[in-house]
Amino acid sequence: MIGATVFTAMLPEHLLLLGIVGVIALEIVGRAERAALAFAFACVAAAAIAALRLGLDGYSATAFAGQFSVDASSLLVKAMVLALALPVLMMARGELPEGEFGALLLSSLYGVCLLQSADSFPMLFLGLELMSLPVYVLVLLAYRRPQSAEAALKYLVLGGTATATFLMGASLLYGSGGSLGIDAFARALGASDGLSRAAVVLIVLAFFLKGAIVPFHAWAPDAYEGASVPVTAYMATIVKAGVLLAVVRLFGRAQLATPMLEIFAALPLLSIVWGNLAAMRQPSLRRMIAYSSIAHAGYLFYALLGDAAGRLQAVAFYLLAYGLMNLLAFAALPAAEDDVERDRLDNLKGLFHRAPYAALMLAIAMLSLAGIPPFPGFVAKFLIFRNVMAAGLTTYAVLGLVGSYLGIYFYLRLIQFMFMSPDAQISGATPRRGLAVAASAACLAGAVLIGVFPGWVIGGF
Amino acid sequence: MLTAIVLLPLLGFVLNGLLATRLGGNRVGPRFVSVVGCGLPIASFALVVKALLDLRAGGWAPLVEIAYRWALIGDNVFEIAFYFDRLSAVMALVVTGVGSVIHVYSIGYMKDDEGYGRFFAYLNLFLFFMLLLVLGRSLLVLFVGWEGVGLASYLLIGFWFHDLANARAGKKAFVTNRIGDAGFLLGMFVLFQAVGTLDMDRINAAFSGPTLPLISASLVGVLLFIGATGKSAQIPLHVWLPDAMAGPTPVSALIHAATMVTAGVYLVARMSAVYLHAPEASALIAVVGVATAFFAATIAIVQTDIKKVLAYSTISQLGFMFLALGVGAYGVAIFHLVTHAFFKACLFLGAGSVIHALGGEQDLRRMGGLARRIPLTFWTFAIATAAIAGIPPLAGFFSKDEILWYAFASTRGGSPLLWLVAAATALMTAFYMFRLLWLAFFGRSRMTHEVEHHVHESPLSMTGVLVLLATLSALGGFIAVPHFLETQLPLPPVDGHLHAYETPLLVISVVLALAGLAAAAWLFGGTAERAERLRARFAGMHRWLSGKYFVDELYERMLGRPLAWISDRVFLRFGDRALIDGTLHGLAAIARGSAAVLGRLQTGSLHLYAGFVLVGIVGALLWSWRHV
Amino acid sequence: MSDAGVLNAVLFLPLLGIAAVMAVPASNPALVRRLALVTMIVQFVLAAWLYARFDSTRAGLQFETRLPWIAQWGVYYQIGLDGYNVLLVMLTAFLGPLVVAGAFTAIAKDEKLFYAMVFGVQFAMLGTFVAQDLFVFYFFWETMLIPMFLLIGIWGGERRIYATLKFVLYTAFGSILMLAAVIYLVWSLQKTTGITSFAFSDLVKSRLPLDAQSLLLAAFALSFAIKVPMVPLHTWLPDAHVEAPTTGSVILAGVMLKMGTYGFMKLGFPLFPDATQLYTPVLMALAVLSIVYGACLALVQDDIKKIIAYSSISHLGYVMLGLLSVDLVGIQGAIIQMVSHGLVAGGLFLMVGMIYERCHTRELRAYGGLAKLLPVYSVFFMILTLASVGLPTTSGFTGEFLVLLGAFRAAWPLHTAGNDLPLVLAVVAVSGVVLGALYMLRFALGFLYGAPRAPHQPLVDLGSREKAILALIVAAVFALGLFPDEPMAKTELAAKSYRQLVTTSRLPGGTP
Repeated sequence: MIGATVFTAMLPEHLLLLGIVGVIALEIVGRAERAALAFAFACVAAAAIAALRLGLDGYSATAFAGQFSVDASSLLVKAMVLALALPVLMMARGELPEGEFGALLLSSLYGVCLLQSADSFPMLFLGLELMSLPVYVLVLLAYRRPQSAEAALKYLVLGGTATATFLMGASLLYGSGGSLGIDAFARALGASDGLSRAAVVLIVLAFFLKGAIVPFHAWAPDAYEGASVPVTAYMATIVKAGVLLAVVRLFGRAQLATPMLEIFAALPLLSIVWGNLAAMRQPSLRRMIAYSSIAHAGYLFYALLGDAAGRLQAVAFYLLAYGLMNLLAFAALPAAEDDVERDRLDNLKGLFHRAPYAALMLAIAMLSLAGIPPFPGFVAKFLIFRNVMAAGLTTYAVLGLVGSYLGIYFYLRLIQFMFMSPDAQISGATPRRGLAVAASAACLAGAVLIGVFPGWVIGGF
Repeated sequence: MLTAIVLLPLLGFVLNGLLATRLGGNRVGPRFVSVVGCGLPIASFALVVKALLDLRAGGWAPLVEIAYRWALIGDNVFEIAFYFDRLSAVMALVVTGVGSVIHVYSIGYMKDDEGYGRFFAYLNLFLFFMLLLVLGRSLLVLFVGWEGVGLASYLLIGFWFHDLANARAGKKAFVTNRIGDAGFLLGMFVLFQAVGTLDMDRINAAFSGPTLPLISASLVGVLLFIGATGKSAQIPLHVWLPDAMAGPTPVSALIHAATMVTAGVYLVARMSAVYLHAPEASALIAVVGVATAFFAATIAIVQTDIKKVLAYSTISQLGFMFLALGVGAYGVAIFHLVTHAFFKACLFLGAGSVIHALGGEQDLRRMGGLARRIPLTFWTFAIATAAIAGIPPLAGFFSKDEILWYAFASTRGGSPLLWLVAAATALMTAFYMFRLLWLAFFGRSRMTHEVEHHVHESPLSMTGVLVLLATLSALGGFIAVPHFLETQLPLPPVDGHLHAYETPLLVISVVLALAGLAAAAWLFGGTAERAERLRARFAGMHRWLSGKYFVDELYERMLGRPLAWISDRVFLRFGDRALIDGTLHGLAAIARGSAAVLGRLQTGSLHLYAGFVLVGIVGALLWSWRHV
Repeated sequence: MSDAGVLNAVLFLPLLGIAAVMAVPASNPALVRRLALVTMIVQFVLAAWLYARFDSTRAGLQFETRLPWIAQWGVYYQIGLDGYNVLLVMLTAFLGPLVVAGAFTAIAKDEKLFYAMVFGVQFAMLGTFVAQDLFVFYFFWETMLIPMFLLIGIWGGERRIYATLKFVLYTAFGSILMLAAVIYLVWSLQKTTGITSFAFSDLVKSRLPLDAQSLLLAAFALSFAIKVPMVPLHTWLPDAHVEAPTTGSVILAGVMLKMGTYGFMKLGFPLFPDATQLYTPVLMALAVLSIVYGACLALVQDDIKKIIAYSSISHLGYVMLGLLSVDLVGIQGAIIQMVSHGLVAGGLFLMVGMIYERCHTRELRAYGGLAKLLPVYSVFFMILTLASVGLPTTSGFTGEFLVLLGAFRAAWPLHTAGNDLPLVLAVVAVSGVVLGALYMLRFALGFLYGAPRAPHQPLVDLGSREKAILALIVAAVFALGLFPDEPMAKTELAAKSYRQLVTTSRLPGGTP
């Protein structure tokens, strides 16, 4: 009974769709404020629960043969991504025109979900675009600031390049293999003729672009800084997650071999070093996070070097830890009248004495991103490099670890500002934002959970 | 019981240390301090006598008493055990006996000192460690005492801590001793390696047995002797003892004359079984000993500080003892140790009485004519002087004469040359001691007026002790220590045809003593212009002697400054700051620099970004086509 | 509660302490202090109970807990006591209350966070010692960085930022390479034996070719040597000590440095015996260099904290020498020396803190004649100084004597076999006792003797709290100096197993 399958298999997507429609409807009737965001939240939550439920039941089905299929792991991944989106919605309260924000966010999420079920390149493409296009607009939403428009434009242009490269690669792949199924990619990866090589390279580079791997990273710092905090958080966590998970799905069981191996190792390694170094002297938190996310994209793509078996686990867990921590940081970031002033690092000096809770949360987030135990970032990093090492690529693993060492400094620098520097002169009290605090608390809870029971969480995927 | 002997003084230290010092808030008065501080040493002296009687009752079979096991590592046992035989009996008697009387003497001498309680606490502490040293069965226990007496000496030299000079002297003593101790440690290690135990009776047994341990006895001997040179102020580690006179005079008498400084002699005698197999080491000991005796004596001749003269004379006398040890006459060395303890203690305490009488004056040039003013002190001092000078039949005569004889005739390295140097030293000894006597007690007074009229004889607690020690210095020679020890420390054989020389040599040594006396009397009797002329004649030599051959200066140049220079310039400035931290800061600078560069690449220009992308794509494609 | 439960309680009590102090309103620092102290005391009591019940005749782990943590890669939460760590756990628990009590008057700002961080360090250090699973060990090892970073960085002196960053970046660099080594080690174990496990007991079964062993040893050794610290990786220590608050210095010198030597003893050398034997000459030379170098530098310092800091480098050189001698006596000496240094250096830093609270300077030149001004203080100071010099009857002597004896015992046979280097090194190390006397007595000379001189007069002598702290430390110092037999009995089997592990080759193809 096809209908039922389609309904169940795509239940999360359906719920998101419902949310989009609902929010737009609320917009039209003009009762968007408050209600819209709440409704969106409800739908995303429902979708997440649905995905989780199905995933834990080990549900798997093919809604549209060769196009869209779900299995336990892809559902769980969706659940994770959707769950990560919830704090973003919470911290958006009062930051943005909530109606538009809700609608755009949900449609982007829809794209992310599609990516996790796509079996063919058209589907993949659809997912990618559906994920990205709303984000261009989301960046633009912070129109109060001049940079945002420019940032959005850059993002759009370079994103466009990515799309083009992707289509190019897909068509070459079709030309060489005669198929548009994603398994064609795995085959091409093994092949050694120039055409399929080129196809593979182009497709992967498209993902590098979306994931901000050096030298395709240039858009990220500007875009992150241009966007308003919730959007930055969304880009840093969920978009990145969508891209990476898609790549993992694309690779399937394929194993990397030279010369592809070098490309897949060299560029991420480069972005680890580059991101960590460049982050050292950034004046604003969002810019710093942008570079840190470039470095983290490096770690994530590193995971592809490892054995196919552990890949999804490694990437998913990493994204979970990394996402939670980024969200924690952004949620805890105290608000200010001026969005630019808000995350100037100088203004965070002595934060511990003004807002101890926020300072502690930020500190935890930074330490976890630095990959220092007892925070989950460490286990995540460990997992990835373990896989790389297990694949016999000892040298790359060591290089990556040394690269990650470079990252420690700038995270500590922020803590130093917050705890050890004399207070910055901040005009006016910062408004408390209940929802954001709740969001941060939720992230912290999640972090503790995966910190204490990493084995259980990893076992899930 | 042996344990009790050792622990009683410790009890005194704890009681006085906790109750009679500022640590415990001075809860008790001086009476309590005196009773505890003197009573317990006397008690342990009584116990030693008791132990001696038991020893005899037991047919002189050594008493062994195991206190507890310090450590058991694998099959290596380290026990805290005590051992009591003839040798340790003699030592313990001297330590507790002379120790006790000096404690009594201190009651008067330190009466008005604010650190009265602290002083007795330290003295008791010293006695505790000294008894550990002489009663310990294993080298480990001996070493504990060895370092402990060093500590006590350090504390007592710097007793008047407000004067930095005293503290420096204490530090110098401690560090110099540490150098010796390093050698001692190595000696212990070698022995433990070879014999597998540190119990000295076992070690001696091993070296007396038919199959010797597979180790060079001379190596052990030399290493242990290095330790001895430190503790007993022999060349080249003698420099600390003169400075040690900064301590209160009773301390000089007890620690730096009678007991502690003789620990080295005891050590060598105790390990005699090893040295019997170590001719090279023994020869070294003899040479170092006689050299030390000679040079110290030459320096003593020109010293003007009454205590410094005695200090150098102590070094010189210790040299005699080592000479005896070097030629295998261990019992004789101990004999001289005993007599020396008597007369040197008497001399120091007499000097103390003089200083006491003169309100702290120590310079011989501002004394004179004291004989009539403080007769008791004078007579006791005179007897002790005669004793050390070797005037028969006083104690020093017997012991020193035997040393000279064995230096001449022993088949274990004795030689006429050794005898000659030793005899010359004996002559000088007599000379500088009588010089001291004359300068202090005869001639007309050179004291300032207020000192003059404040001169007074010391209280009974001091003079009584002086009389007692003077008596011992007079009669001590008739205690046949070598004979008493002979079963344990047999005297070295003497080749027969030398026996003819025995009487002539004896006569010569007496003559030498008298000659020294005469020379001193002639030079310093009456006005001192004869001595002045002599000094003027040998001005250069006099500078060398009064400069103590400038050994301290030499060490400062050779060791002190280089060490400081290397530490500061090479290690700190170059090593730590320039090399290591420099490198690190360099790396940090590189990171910062590259961070700046990367930051600048982020210009915001879309063209540049697109350029990156293009380069990236093309590069990747080319790379992937490498081996198509 | 079962014994294992008690051990877990000891380990996790600090977390409870963090929760407790964080719950108290900042307006009530007195309560914060009291809570902190009580928690630490309880922890010590529990630890002491375990120590009393520790069976010295049983080899291997006692009070063991083993729960799956990340089971799919064989990571188990596995902790327990054995001869290797029992004394160090005791030391940590013993210093805990003293550290807290010592901070009462010294720390005035952010007290809640301060005591929370102290508990954090305590937790991490204890975890490092009791961990029996490499992953857990590394987890705690790294965790320790965070509270220490804050302790130095927030409550430190003028150059605290520089000092604390130097400390963290130094240490973290070592750790990163160690992490790589850990991963590689476990992976190779899996490859060769099929066992996926981080348990020490499994890892010591691994067989690796010499070159791999050497690289791994290098990675581990780098991390441990930085922590010890061994020359030339020591330059973070003086800065950290000088800038850290008293509490930080005490923790650092008292326990944290031992994490390095403990790491060598528990992991570094036993895991890679062949490489260890190959590089013993180099490591031994470095150990002796540390002894001399540290002593010489201590000789020319004017900052009293730096004197003790450099003396630590020298004293831990003895520990390394003892471990490398692979002689039973030397190993036991090394273990005692670790504890002894923890007590002595910890105590000295506490005393420096006490004088600093009174006079607000650490310049040696600013002081003099304290024996007159602070008689009680001076007595304690003199005792600890002499313990640091290694005078008999103090713990310092027990450690140094046994280490040197062991080093010599190990070196002599080699010397007779024609290899003189170890003997030469041992002899040089013995000369360290002279240097030790030199710099410590120089310190005491300028500090206690001479004309009374101090920046802030009149000075009040030690209060009862301070007396109690120091009395406890001094008591422990003498106990370890006079009666080391009982504690050494507890460590003897560990020392033997260490010797056995380090001396049996584990190259591939050898007989198991």
